[in-house]
Amino acid sequence: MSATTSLFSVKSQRAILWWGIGLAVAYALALIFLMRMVPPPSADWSAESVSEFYRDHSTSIRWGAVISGWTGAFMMPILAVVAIQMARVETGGAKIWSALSLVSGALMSLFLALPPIFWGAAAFTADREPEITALAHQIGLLTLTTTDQYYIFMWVGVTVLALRPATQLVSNNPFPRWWGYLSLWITVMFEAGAFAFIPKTGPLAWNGLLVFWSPLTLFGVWITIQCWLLFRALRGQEDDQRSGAAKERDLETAFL
Amino acid sequence: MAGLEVDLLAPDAGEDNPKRRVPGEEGTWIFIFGDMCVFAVFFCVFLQARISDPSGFAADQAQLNQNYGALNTVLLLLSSFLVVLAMRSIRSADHHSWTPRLLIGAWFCGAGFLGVKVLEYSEKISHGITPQTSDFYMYYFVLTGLHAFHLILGLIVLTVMVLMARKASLSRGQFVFFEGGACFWHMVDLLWLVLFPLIFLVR
Repeated sequence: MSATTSLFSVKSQRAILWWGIGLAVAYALALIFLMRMVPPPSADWSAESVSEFYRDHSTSIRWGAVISGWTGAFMMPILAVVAIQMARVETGGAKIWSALSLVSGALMSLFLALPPIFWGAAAFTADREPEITALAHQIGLLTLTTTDQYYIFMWVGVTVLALRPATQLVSNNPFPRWWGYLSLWITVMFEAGAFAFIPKTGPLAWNGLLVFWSPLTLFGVWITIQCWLLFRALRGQEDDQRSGAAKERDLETAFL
Repeated sequence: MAGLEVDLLAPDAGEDNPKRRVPGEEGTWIFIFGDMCVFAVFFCVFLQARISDPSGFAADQAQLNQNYGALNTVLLLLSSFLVVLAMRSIRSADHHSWTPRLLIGAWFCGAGFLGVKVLEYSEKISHGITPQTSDFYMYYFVLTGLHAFHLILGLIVLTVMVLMARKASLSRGQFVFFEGGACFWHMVDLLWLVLFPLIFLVR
């Protein structure tokens, strides 16, 4: 058997994608149920209320921080697969958009991994001065919400490649044209995040519609749809390789 | 393929034809409906907030300069009309050369809107009114600011359309993009037509 095609790459990509999804689910559960940050406490809370919150939930928040420590970098594996698939369709020289997406996966992981550390620190000695706990709490929530803009590099890359006509000529392409438009729209929606430094109530506060709920939902929607598109494309790529290998084998036996 | 192109570029394609065509790409409508949903949610949130403090909202609303809002409405309607004319002219062999000029006219109407917006904001800020002044002004700045942001995106789209319109002829894909851009500009106009009465006029 001299078939040179190997399914190692496709299988690895699928495994790494599942790895990322598993981490993302665990992170989300820790964020919601252990750290109680969905919905986040109002930005209006006094230092005393914040301090009380951390005293009441000290243990669960610290365990939440432990689990987030294991899972916070979930966008690294997911974006590694996205970037490899982008590189597959990005023809014509340097694969700059794929590279941009890859580093963006590493960058956004920082801003997902840091907030639980700050909340864990706030809960670590929750009976200290309330003002100090409140500061750690605020740094955590502002790190989570105001760093949305660092996510957009990958979406711009995905948008450019999905809207580029040449991409649609590649078979089993996980970036259909409509996906470019959706990614572009999510890019626009994520620009609101930085405003969270200004108001304490309303849609631009850290628990507001534009700064918290819409980015959270759209982020979840984006990961879900992109993973589905990737799995579908990977299945097609695997089938292609299998049939390619089968053809090679047939040719070999025909000449024997 | 050539037949399809002729069909598509013919004026009023679809009117005699029972098979109606959605203008632009399907993808542009994801963007447009997504945006309109977000604004719809905002309109509800605004009205909800208004119910909790009707007198405060009315007092703040009375301080707004309705002339700016009305002038901006006229500017956007005019720009949308110019885009409609541009859409017509690009499909016509005789008036094709008009398309860039009409789009540049629409562009300047949009830029005029932004100019008025800057005047309006600076007047408010010089009177010490900021988003932190009251709930009404927070929504006022957020909603009109979000709309202005979309208008800036629309101006970028119009610029691309001007550059495309200068070409002798468009491919099918380019034409569909062109149409989608026009739809986006109309959405920016439509959102303002809801925003203006909602923020400036509703009593």
